[in-house]
Amino acid sequence: MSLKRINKELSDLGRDPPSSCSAGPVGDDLYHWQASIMGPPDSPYAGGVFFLSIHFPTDYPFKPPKISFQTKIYHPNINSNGNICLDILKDQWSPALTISKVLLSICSLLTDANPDDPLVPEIAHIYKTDRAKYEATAKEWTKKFAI
Amino acid sequence: MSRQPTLRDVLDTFLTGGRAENQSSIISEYLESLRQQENSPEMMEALVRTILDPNGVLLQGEDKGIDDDFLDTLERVKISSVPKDKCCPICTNEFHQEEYPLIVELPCNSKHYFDLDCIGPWLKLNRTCPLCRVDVTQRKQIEVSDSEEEQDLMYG
Repeated sequence: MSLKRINKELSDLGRDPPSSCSAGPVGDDLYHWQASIMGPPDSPYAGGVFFLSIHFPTDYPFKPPKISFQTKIYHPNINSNGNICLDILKDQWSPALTISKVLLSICSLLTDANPDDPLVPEIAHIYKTDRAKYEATAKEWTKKFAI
Repeated sequence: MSRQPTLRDVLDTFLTGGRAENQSSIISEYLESLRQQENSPEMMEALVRTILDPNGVLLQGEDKGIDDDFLDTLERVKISSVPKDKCCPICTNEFHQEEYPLIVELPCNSKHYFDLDCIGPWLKLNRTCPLCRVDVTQRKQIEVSDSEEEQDLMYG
């Protein structure tokens, strides 16, 4: 089941690619993909390209894929290991979700962070109390690591 | 917290229903303090591990899924009443392309069709509809609030 569904997603992505992201297998192993997303234009990540690694569990789509940022990013919901705090990757996963939909959700997370459910409390604090400082640092990191 | 958390602190966060992140962080701190002790009680660490996954996320209880019998109560859908290019949301294959389709609808919505083989394993893990997240065991409540179905009853 998992391999068939992963193959289907791969061909759907090829046929109808989302505008701001791309994804595909790293090598021969269809359970390991790499994705890239463009920093949304209306965010401090604009102009950057962020790489993510995707690992599908063997019981996909009944369990969520494991997705993490490989590119360093300054964001309240993404930590220094690249782990992402996003409900649909955890307890709100649904087998009707696809990699394409998840990547779009990650794009919206970049535009609208969720500082009330932070993975990096320090960044969340700055986000809430000094938005200009947050945006400046996020831009600086984007320039340094993602361009 | 200035002192190292104790097992008591860990249990307190659960008993008082603290936020999941706080629970995760106090458990991480507690594990760290266990590691620093020379005669670290490994069994206790293993015990705490059973409530956190490798990412430090709290594991959900195992009672979220439905009983096996529930699958037998789901409404079967005849392939002839399924629109031509409709796909199973889980395997994403078109129902009409299948050689022996065995399709069911969930009680939350009369258009939420799934292959029985696909929805079965999901509902055993989680009792929610993959499309609308409604608890599929709450059948009665939903039928009452569904105005479309009321109309069907009136004019049906």
